[in-house]
Amino acid sequence: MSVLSTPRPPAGGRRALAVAAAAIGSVAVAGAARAAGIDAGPVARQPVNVTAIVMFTAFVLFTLGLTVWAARRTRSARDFYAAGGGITGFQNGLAIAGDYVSAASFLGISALVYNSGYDGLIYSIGFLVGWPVVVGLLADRLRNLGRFTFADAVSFRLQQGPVRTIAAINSLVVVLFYLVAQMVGAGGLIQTLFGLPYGYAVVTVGVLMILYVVFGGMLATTWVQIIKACLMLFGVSVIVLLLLGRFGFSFDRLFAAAIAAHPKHAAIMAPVAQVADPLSAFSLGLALMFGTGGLPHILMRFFTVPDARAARTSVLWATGLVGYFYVLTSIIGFGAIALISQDPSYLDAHGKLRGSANMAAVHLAHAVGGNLMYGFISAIAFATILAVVAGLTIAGASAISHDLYASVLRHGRVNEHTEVRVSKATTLVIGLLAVILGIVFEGQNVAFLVGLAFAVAASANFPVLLLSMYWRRFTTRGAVLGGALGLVSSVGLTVLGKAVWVNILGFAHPVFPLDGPALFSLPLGFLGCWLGSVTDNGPRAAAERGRFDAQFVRSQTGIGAEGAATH
Amino acid sequence: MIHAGTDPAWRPPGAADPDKLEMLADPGFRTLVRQRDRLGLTVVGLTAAIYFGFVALLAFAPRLMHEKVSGVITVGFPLGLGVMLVTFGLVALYVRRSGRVFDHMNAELLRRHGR
Repeated sequence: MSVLSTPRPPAGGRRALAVAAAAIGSVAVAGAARAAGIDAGPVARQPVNVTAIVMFTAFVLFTLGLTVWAARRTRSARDFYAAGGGITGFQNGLAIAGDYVSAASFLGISALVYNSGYDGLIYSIGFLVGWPVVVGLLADRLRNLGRFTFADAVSFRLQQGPVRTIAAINSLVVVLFYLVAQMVGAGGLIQTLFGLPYGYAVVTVGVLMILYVVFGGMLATTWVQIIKACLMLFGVSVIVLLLLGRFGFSFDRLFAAAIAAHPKHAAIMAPVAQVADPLSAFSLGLALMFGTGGLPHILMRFFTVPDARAARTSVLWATGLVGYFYVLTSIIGFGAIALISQDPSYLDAHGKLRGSANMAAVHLAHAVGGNLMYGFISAIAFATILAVVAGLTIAGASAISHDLYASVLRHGRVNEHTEVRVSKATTLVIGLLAVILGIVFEGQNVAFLVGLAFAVAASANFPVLLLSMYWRRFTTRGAVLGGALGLVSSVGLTVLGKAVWVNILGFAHPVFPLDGPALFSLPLGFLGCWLGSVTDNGPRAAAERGRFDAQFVRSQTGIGAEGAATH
Repeated sequence: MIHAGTDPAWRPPGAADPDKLEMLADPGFRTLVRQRDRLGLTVVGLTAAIYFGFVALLAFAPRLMHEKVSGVITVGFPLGLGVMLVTFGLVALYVRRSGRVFDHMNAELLRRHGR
């Protein structure tokens, strides 16, 4: 343990940690008290971070209070899945930003910029180009056709059983990959930031997300995401202001200092990775652009607003906020190069950033804003993890309770209170699974899982959703074949690629040469949809095509769509 | 007929909903659909062209990216920021036009068809 090299005095940490743990829930108490004294993790843990723990405890108490408030207002299935449909466009825009921007991308992008400069900035741009697809092709129609999940829209005129089954499977795969990536990242991050051992960190995240979703449903999830988005936007804005203040508000001076400090010097001001492997860059770009429109937890947010107009407004806010956030995060990465990469108090014995490169943004917060900013950003990182995993969990639970249980298993003949109870039970199971998988994958490099989640969303969900709303000849067989082919090819090609085949399975050379599968799996998803549909010409397929007109009118005009909240 | 949920207001989609089929024949409806689809496709097409054009430029014209625009700042920075601003602008264009034009056309259609 590197107690001596910390910028933070560890005194009083044990008590503060116990207080925080008590607030978080009894599950973590025993472990946390023990943990304060014992070094259990394989990664070098930082000593207890008092400011961060106080701020985080305040966040947890406040959001738990919010969950109590939300629980009182959550009665019907619509309340549970869609916050009663009473979220405004602006609120939903903030919530989408809170749902979409994970701690992995906040710390990951600033770390990428810290390590390689301009290359990291290119990733930020990829996270923005999915939104025109969402608003231009999907949002209006999806909002007019669906109730709680995007499978509502896909199965509108198709056969409920097979279509909802494949949509639910693909949603769950996306949710689980994304969730495991967040959990493993959370465990490592919290271990570094708060001095809490990995296992307890993962359990704490799991317990809190279960509490939010089981008791407060979508209403609590939404407000946790809104608060997190506000905190995060405020936090990065303050850091960037303080940072630019150090350089007389001159970008030129900031970048000049970064060039002088970085071992690659001027090379950090231009792309490197794209030049080396353009096909992988295209493949990743495809997954980002079309994956956003296939992420179940994002699509689900469009049912929380009263109408299609509010759905569009929320995309506009989300795009602006996400874009602003990523621009600032990239500046933070360059600021970290300039200010902390040469400062021994932030480096370990090997000259690397203490903790890991992922700590670039957090160390920079300390460099420009002292212990207060350091604690604040640590707490925000934790809050970010909670907001994202809560959104993922409710999306996964809905896929099981609404699509698989209520629609496939019970053929829609189910009491809505029973359906919500199933959803809550599922939340518990998904939460437990996430904790177990988080612990199993400790120390693994799971960064590729986020890319894989986007690739599955782009290849398996996006083609099916798009064609169900746009192509009259699309049928149940097309949806099943397209969804299955998109899933199998995106997962299969990832397993055969470098991230799994070489890095995890230990083979010498990857079978599939690209870093991302979407360049092939996205066209394969569409091919499956086309092939399944054109070979499907029985009476069922004819009836499905016959129902297209009614679906088309509803999707365009909103006639018959779910209205605003009535309470 | 199989349907989802138990909301009594929710109806399974039927093939022969006379109100909806009447709407299909309305020229106003066809205009709305055509204009909205054209805008949606334009927004997505432009985003794809600009974004993948940008990725291609990075990959195949790396020398250009080392050119300085001011002080130490290279061409890549205004270009990247430009892609982000244009992306936001295209979303804003779609949302504005939908709110100012298409929503009114839609409301007019609903009135005409007694909704």
